[in-house]
Amino acid sequence: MASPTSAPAAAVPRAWIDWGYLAYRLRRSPLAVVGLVMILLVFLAITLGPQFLPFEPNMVNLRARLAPPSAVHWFGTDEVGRDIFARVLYGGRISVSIGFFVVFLAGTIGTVIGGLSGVVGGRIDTIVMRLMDVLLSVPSLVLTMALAAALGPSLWNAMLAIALVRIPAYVRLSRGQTLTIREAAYVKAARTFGASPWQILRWHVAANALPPIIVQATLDLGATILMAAALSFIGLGAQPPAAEWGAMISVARNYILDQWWYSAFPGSAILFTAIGFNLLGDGLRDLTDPKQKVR
Amino acid sequence: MSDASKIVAAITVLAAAAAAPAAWAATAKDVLVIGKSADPQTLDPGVTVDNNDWTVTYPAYQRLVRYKTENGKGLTSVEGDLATKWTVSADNLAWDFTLKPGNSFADGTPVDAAAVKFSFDRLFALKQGPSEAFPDGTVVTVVNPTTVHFQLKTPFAPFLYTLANNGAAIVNPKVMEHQKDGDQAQGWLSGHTAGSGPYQLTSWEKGQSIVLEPNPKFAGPKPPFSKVITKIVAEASARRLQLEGGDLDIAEDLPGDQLDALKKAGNGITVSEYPSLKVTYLYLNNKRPPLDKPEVRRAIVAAIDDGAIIDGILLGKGKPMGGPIPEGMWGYDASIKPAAHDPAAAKALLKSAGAEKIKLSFVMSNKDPNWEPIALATQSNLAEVGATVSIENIANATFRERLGKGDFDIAIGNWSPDFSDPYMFMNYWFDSGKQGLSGNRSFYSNPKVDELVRKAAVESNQAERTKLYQEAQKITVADAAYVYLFQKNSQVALRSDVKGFVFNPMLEQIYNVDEMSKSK
Amino acid sequence: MSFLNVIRRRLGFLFLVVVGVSLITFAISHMIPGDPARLIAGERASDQIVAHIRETLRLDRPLWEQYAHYVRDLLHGDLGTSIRTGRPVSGDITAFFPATIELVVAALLFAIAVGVPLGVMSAVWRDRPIDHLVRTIAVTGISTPAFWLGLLVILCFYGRLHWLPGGGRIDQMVAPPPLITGFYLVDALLAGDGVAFASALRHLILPALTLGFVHVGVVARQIRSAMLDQLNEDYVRTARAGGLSRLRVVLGHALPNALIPSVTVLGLAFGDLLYGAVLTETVFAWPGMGSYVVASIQSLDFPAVMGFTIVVSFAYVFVNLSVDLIYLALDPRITDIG
Repeated sequence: MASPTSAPAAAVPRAWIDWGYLAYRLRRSPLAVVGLVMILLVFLAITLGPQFLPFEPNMVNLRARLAPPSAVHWFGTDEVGRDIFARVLYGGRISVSIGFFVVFLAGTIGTVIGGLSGVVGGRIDTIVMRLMDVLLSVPSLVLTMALAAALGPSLWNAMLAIALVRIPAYVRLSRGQTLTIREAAYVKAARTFGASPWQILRWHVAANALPPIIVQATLDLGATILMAAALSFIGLGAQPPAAEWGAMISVARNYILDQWWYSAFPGSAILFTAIGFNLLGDGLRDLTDPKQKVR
Repeated sequence: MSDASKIVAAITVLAAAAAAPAAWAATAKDVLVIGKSADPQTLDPGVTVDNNDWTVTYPAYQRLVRYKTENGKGLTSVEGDLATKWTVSADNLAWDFTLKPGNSFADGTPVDAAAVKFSFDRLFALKQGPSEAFPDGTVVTVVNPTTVHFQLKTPFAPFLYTLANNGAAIVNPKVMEHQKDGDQAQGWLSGHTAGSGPYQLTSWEKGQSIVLEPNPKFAGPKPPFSKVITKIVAEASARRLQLEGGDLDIAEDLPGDQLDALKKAGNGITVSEYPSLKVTYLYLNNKRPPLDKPEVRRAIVAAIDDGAIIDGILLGKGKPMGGPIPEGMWGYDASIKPAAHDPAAAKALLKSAGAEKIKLSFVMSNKDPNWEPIALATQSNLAEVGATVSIENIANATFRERLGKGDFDIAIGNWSPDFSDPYMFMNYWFDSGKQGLSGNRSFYSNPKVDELVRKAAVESNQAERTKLYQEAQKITVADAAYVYLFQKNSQVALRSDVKGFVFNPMLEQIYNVDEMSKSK
Repeated sequence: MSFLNVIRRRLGFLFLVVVGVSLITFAISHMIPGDPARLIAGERASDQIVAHIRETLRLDRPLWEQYAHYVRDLLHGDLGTSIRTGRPVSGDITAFFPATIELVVAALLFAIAVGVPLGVMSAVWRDRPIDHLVRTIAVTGISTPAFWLGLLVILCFYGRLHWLPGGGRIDQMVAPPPLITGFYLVDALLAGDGVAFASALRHLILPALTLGFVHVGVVARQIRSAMLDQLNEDYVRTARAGGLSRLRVVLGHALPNALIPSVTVLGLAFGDLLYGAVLTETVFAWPGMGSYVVASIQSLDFPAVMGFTIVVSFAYVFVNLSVDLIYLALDPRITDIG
């Protein structure tokens, strides 16, 4: 038990990430490493790639429309002669930023709501949780579709809509973590010494709830990128001429029979990026899951 | 687990058995299958304003008049359908139609003057989209069972042509038995047909297929198909595959590139091209600076490379336009040549108007897949003359809202006439009384033009009307109220064994299923 | 006793969900800028015509009044009339919903049939090549954009190989089975219509596999994790030490126990499948709720959107209620569920 004089921060138990164990497990979990490498590749490609390209993503050239992949146009061109390689790289910037923005927004809001709700408890906690249950009962795509339609189709609105439906997951996660440590002796002690719910949340809950939330966030990155692409595919997300992957496939589907490259490259880009995040997230989850430490 | 594996095994066996017959098979000779991209919404002729619905409704109903066909070509002039003859009073206000004897609805009810009166009274009472084409305050009376009288409040020159519209369908008065809460049987008619046309609806599996079968009481020759099936296949690529595989006889709404590929491949598919009256044009907001200045609008007309758009985006399947009335519609003026692409002149015009480096919004929706590439082409064309265009692609509903309010600098639209009269172009586009969504979407206003087009709308002499419209056209072209991009060619992809299809530019997506047949 | 408790609690929750969902969707659908009346009237309709349509649809009334009307009708079991089609929404939902459920159930069965064995293998041979392979398959499934996969599948199995139909629910020349449940496969079996059954099955395969593939990963992951928990339990070691074969222990003891917690996850997967169905349906011309909802949203048809949302939320709550009950029945240790 922490002594009354020690600072609360010092009483925070070590998080579940054990670095030595992590390194040991990483060696045995090649898939997580593969995921990490894939993500690094994506980052390299979308940050540095466009610098070396002779094409702007929105450069129209009607004389070179629907050209197959070649030494000049690595991924071919689209129906108005734009370079698909350039568009896929720029599209990656859009997709990956959507992923990070949405997950950050939903993760922060959800964690704070869930944590506070758990610390405060009582009637407020009940109301918050019922609200989240209701939100979870609405089919998420319909909610995002309706929201995106209501706010007007744009990338920004699609992001807000996706963030909203992702919040309940974090609320539940962070509340669950809060409840398990709320009764812990050191938290009770902190409360006795007059720490506010907010302080308790910041000092204790954050440190403990963070690892599972980070895992959830990594997995969500992949899911969010897919969801944003899906919204753009049905016309409620990114708007032309933005080179977003889902929006590109939405146009490319009309060319799938004769110009395979048009849909193949943006599609593979989504797949590749999502696999990267999911492999990493999967690996991290195993690493931080205390139940599976045995063996 | 053992149960699960049994299920797996059972599913595998069933799947193999089901997959055994070939997936591709031609349709039967007496069945016509039309592939559509979207399910029709409502089949009530008093409500629907969508050609996609008319594929079903048009052959299910008859009208007083119909478009003529000459030598396999659909014309825009009309002849009697239910009516044998008609007379019009000297003041152009009183019309009397004599009905052909022997026509009856599918249930045997005769098509008489009372049915005609019922149909128009219902149309006017519903007061929905289709009633827009008919002049306000028209009164229909029964003179005797075979004569019906229309009394117009003001002379309306295109009246006769509006009677060939889908909305002028003659509906069986017995539908009122299905009326609920005074809805004029709208609920029932939205999913059923009650007409005297060659075919009637027999089933509608929502979202999948609609089956039409011959009307046993149809007065004309027995139609050749025992079934006309409209099948809903949302993906264009899937529609093309099904046409190639013989699952469809006609595939609607295929993108230009796919039609070209079909043409090249042959494979028993004919892609026919017809000049249409579908016009694609840009609205230039005449009310909002800097486009309130004619010089700036003329500069934009000169800056846009119309030819490149037609070649690059339409793959050449279109015709540039000089004035508002498209070729094929009477009143067309061949002496007005399409504007030349001249960036230098455009720059000079902008300079003279003091409007260099202007910023313009280009508002569009995804309603037409060609709009996006056109917007992009416009953006780069205008960039060449120093104007910055920002493209806003918004939901179609919001798009219309903004068009109505005039909240845009440049916007894009398609237009096709509801009835075959230049009124559809000249009065709708330029009458300052129709500003906004109703037609004058450039918010153009010129008292002289108002006077000319309004006079042409009540004048009965066609030669005189042509003169009035052509004078108005010259003024509006000089004012550069719109950018006329092109009139599109309609392309229809059908299997080569389908014979007798007649394209009529007034009847897009409507097939003369009572005259077509299949050879094997 | 606890069964009753769960049911009572869930029914109370259902009420809450309906109120919440109807409020949320109503608010959302009325935030939409744009005028549904204008959409039905057509582009060229005059303002009087549009105003007249607004009046007949009660769109000119204050919002609270519209909502009150909606709730009153809802209590009478009336979901209103679709603005777009002019038909009762309940009729449209009865027409489209069974197709979606049929697709979702088929996809779920496929996901279970493939996902469970994969998950078991993955757990038993943890960290071996087969585990990595299974996890790669699982992650690929989860990471695949369903709309893109659907296009590729049509192209391959219909366009190139001509094995299976490229869209729709049944062959156009085959009469759909008489309507009993709305599920073509079930109805065809009940009617003893072999031709319709075969045709419906062939049309179901591609969309169900596409949708199911995404969820193979979800199932395999869950089973793997639950199996790992079980394999670490003392009873497994005891059984092994007692001389039982590895196969008997894994399939006879660990798997049944691992399936219990997995049932809950399957309930949640059902919701995700509905979501995925919306995208799969548009690609496969599957006449389900997906295409209907997309079209309704695009034409601001809020009675249709709300009707759909409410029905799906109901279905979702009921599925989870049954999952909880199954859970209770399977695991006697649990007496209450929060």
